[in-house]
Amino acid sequence: LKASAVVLTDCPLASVTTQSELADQFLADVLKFVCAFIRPKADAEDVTAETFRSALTSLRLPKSHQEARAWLLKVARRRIADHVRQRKRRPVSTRSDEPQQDQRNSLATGAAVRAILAEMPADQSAALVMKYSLGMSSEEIGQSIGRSVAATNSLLQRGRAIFQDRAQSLLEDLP
Amino acid sequence: VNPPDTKIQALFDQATDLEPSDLLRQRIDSLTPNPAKRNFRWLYATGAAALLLTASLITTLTPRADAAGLLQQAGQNAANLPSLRCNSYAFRNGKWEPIGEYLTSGNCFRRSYNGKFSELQTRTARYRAIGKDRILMTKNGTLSNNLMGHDDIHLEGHIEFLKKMGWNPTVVWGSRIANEGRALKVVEITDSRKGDRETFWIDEVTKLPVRVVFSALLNGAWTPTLRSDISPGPAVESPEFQPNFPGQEIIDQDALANEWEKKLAKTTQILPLADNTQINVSELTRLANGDIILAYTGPSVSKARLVGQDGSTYYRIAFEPNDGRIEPRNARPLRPGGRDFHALWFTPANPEPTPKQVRVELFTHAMRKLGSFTLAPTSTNQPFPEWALAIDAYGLAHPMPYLSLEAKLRDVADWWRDPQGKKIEGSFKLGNELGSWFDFARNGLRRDPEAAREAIATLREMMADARSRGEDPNPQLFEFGWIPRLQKEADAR
Repeated sequence: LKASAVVLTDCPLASVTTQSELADQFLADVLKFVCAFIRPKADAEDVTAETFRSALTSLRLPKSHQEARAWLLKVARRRIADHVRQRKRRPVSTRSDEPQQDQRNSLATGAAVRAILAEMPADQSAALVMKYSLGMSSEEIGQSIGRSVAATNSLLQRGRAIFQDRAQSLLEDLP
Repeated sequence: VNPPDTKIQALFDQATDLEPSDLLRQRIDSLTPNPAKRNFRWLYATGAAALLLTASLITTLTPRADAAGLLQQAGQNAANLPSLRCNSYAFRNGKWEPIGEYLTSGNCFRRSYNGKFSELQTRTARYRAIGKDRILMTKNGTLSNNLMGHDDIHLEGHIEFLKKMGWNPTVVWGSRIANEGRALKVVEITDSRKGDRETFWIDEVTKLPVRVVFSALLNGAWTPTLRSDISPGPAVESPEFQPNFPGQEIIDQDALANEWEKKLAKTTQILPLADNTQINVSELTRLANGDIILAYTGPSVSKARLVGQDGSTYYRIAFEPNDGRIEPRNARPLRPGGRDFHALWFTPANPEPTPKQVRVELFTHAMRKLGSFTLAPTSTNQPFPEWALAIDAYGLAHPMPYLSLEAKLRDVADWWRDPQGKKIEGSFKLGNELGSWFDFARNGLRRDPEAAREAIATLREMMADARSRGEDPNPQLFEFGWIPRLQKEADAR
């Protein structure tokens, strides 16, 4: 009965968001989120594609814009974890796409930020990326990581403190 | 003093500065199913739900309904698994050159050479191909986008096995076209003895165009159903690709999937089972023309065994689904080869946790040998799951052109039981080796049937010798006793 009820409430006709709309609206956000944890770009795009593959083959679709983004990022977090786990078992491939000289400073800063995020607790780093890169509200972040708004605010506060401490030199370099 | 959020945000902007490339957008577009199919799937699911609802009202509501529901879902997925052929081509020297082919019955798992499971799920493969993701093709028909995880072990196992079989493989890693692409790795295995060559694509992250054509066996003919470009770039656009199927056009993949869904929906029968149900195989096989699927709901870790008429355990199953991923851990077939009975960890590509969904496939021909069997729990400390058995009366057409020969090979499975029919303990590892051997023989039969038969006979003889000496067949014996002899035979030939 429960399964039946789930299926009946998931009628695509009742969904606000269709699959193609999902992809149109949130591709950039998901990629931004993924690339905070995964590089090089090709790998980040692979993980993003895998995220959408998982999401789009599901019978269930979220019914609101906010729910959709939180849900996609939840899927993305799992794909990122998978990727990181798999990468540990793979040899590192050599890449020929060397950055230009004028990009290096920016890349170095980005890499440093990602390194800091990688060392932080997963929930904290994910929440920070959602807030500062994607501009999500605490409520939306909470939906994605499965916490209440209050708990999410607390998480963000702790994460921000840790990040600020570790990224002190980077922050001082900024104008 | 805390820095303003704008400063932190500026740092995050530099860490997440990527925009989706055109290629990524294409990949995502290709993943978006057409709405008609989605609606069909929804109607199908709704219909199944309505049936379940009705059944649950008529009969006592038991957990078995859940098993039936799972089975419906499994069946729905199985419906998308037609018999499949995959041909791949590379654009080299100004033309499309064939680089590989594999055949599969589409809904089975194959064992790899080191005894681990290899993934072979057509639906997954199709999506991956559509997604222009990485592709791995190996001789035993593995297609996966897990490049350097367990699949490279498959490849190594394959190479090792070829060596054991008397080949003299020359392995070239990535040397041929690595310079043309960014990270293309190609493994070529050349048998200097026979002049055969197998090409393995390890990584498609390349500028060299690679194209894959999937074909399904429909009404006795191979019909191209999907063409997928693995690599992007202008070179892929021209010249016009001509698959090796003159007079046939690529048909609509969604239509094909729908066709299979309809067929399976019409023909699948579901039989809820209780613990220790005696299953009369002859009756099942009379009904079934294709796969028999065993589904269950239950705890995350469950164990069961199939018990034959003589009380022997033929197959023991331990389910340990791992976070929604296909990751078999404790499958231990007690019969050799793992080809007659094998387990399929089935968890749909669904971001919601569904760790309890497991499907076990039993091949009908193997069940015929048993006559009847019982589903029984192996331990009492685990609640026994609810089971359901489905019979796909339609059957999935087998694509192997050498089916009859393969069927003969299955006789090898009988070696695993002594003349009294008792199972031989502690030997599943050798069973895995035999599974490898089956793969070799099956492939070998295509190119040299007589040699493969001879090799089989030799192996059978060696096993008999070992038993007559009171030795347990084990990997060491296989490794140090039989293989050199087999190689000697091959050399002599």
